[in-house]
Amino acid sequence: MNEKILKLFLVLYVLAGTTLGLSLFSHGYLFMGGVSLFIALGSGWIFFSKKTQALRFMYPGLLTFVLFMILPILFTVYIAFTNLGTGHFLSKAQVKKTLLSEKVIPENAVSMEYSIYPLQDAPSILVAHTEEGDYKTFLEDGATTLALQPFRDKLPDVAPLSLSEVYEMKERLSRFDFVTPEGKKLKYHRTDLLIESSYRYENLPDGSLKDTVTGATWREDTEAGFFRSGNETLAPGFYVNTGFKNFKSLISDSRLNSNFFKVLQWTLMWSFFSVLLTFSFGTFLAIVINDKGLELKALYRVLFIIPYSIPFFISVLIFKGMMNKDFGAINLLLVELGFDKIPWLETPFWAKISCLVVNLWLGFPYMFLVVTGILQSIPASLYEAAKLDGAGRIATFRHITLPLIMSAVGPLLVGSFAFNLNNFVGIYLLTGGGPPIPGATTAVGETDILISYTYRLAFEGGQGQDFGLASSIALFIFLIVSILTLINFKLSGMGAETNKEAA
Amino acid sequence: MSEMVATTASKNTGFNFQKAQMEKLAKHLFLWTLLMIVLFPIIYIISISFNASGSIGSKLIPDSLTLNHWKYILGIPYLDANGKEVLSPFPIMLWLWNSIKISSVSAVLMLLLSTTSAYALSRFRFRGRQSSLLVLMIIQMFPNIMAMVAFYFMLDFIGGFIPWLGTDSHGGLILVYLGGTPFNIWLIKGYFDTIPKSIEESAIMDGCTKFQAFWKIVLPLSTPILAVVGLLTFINTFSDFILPSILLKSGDKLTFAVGIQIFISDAFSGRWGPFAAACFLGAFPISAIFFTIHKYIISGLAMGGTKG
Repeated sequence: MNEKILKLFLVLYVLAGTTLGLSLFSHGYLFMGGVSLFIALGSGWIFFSKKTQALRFMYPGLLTFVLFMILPILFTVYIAFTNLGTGHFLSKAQVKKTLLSEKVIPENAVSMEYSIYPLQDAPSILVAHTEEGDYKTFLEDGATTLALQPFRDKLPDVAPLSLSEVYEMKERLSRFDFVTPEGKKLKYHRTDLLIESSYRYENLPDGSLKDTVTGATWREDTEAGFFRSGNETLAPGFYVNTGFKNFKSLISDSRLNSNFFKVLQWTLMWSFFSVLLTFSFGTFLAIVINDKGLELKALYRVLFIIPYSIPFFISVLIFKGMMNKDFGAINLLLVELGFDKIPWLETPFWAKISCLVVNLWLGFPYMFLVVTGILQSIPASLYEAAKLDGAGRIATFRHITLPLIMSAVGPLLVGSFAFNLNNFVGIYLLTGGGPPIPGATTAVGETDILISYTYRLAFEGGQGQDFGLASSIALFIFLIVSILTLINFKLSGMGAETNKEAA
Repeated sequence: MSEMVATTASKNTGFNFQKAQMEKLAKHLFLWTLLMIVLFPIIYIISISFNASGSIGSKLIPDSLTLNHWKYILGIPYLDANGKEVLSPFPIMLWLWNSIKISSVSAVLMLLLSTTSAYALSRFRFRGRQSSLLVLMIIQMFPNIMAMVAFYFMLDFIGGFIPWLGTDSHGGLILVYLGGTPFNIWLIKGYFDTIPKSIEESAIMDGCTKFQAFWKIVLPLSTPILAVVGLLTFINTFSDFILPSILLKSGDKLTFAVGIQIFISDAFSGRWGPFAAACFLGAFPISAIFFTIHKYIISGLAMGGTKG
């Protein structure tokens, strides 16, 4: 019984997916349509073939993983090679449609208010009102021009359509030319107004647009993504494939590249120092507390990891307030102790220090916990042997404790580096990327890391959004993370492990 | 090391013993000083949330106490110093509720999606299994926020057909989070591997289907890891800032992270008191969840995952 319901549900699911795919195809979304069809038919195969039991179990997790992890990554790669962004939001077809629907309204244009009356057994009747008298016409689907005839009868005995009902048939009404007895062409203008107008652009056979006002011919410029006539371009532009342009400008455009390299350099420094500081302090603390004779050990271990248990965005915002130059708690304390105020978030140097200090606070408990775990797993006999050999404290630390810690934490340090590389909250919520780099042509600041730079280019929008450039920076992050993953595989021998385990 | 010091000391003279005691005392003193510094922001923010002046430059020890900041964020009207009734115009509790809703739904769906995959990888031997494991392991290194631009356009596109899965919808945001299955599949698979196969095998002998064996035998035996993965997903979703800040627009749909950031960034000094109360309210439950599962988080992190 249950099986049957499940099967019915699956059949419906496959059919729905197939329909969606086909309808996307018919709307011209070839790629998305293809993906939907592939998923729908693939699901059908997985659930009804006898050989695919394992896949059936894999299916749910695999599906969202492909749709919302793999597909977005591929899509990011695609966008990185386009000029998608402010002024180039739409596809060429969409831009053309927009331009072709642009109307010109001549001076002293004739306009008429109108109402539409739905009739039974006949097309709806449109009644237009002017000072000279009323006109009527039947809204016959399929016709392109409708003649407005003088109307002196009684109005039909039904209520006219409301404005919102008229709005719903806007697309349909826009297709008609309403021609007055004098031969003026009126078009849909508002839900209650027809106005004499004509389309501004005509579609030429070669894909260019003819401007009926100036007589100019606007040709497609598929490199810049505009309709162009001479030096002039039409807004809006469309997005086009620009090849390696985004990458080239990041690396060699003199207005961009110095800032990009600055961001890249700080990203790597920030990750490196974050790992170094959190690891050093965490290890130090772990060793101090991991002392058999020390009381309250358990209490210390709980208290010191409290910072890690709080969502980072909350802690970082608290620090932002505390580091305020004039009113922040830290500077007030410094003044009380007789020191000068420090411009924590204002100068490039101190802003960087602040980021690292806050990140040390956020991240050391993790290293502390990890190293504590390692220390607890070192057998006491090793230390006893060292003692018998007459090794002092420092020698024991250098020759036993430290090497054992280092041999275990390698992959974790790389993982922590990768995490900080994309630690958006730790930077953006504290400094917003600032202070701004003087003279920069894009939104970028001294403490911006690659991921916050990506965010600001794409979504901060003060100086326009550039999704293409943002995505190409995201690909640099991708590259760095790939290298780190490779290093991690080497360090931990994970690849070998999965092989062994799978055999 | 210190243990060695202690044993040597007891064997030797009283002077050495005293030295060891002094050293221990110094250590405690040092650790408490350090704790004061480390926990200062937390103590400070709790104090501010009850401080009647409650501005950004308030002292650590308040001159007088008030519950007004708490009333402000909880949406309870109160009288200010001039006797005027104040009611917060910010839906802070709604933001918190949005966050809790999105995080809970994501956690439940994440469990449904990743347990079946983990089961397949743990119990079936099929072609492509080995490479699937490898791909999952590699991909979980890449955080999904790298593809933020793509997510924005994908949801924008989906929203044209299904508005409640588009941008500015909680459904769309949850959908994006569900791409993060690989890490959880790994965690759960590791746990499944430790459950002996013989239990299911005998059930299958008795006429159970594979799916029934999974649903009625393996899942109930895995409650600990399911709790950990669910709570971990909850914490990570709750703490995410970048995706909701891109995908959500309307003021009443924001998550706590985005809402509170906008709330405080507009006026740091004026809203410091209510902000402090809101911080405590948002942080406390997450902190509590963290401490119930922190042993597992560490072992999970040891596998290469990250906390968002």
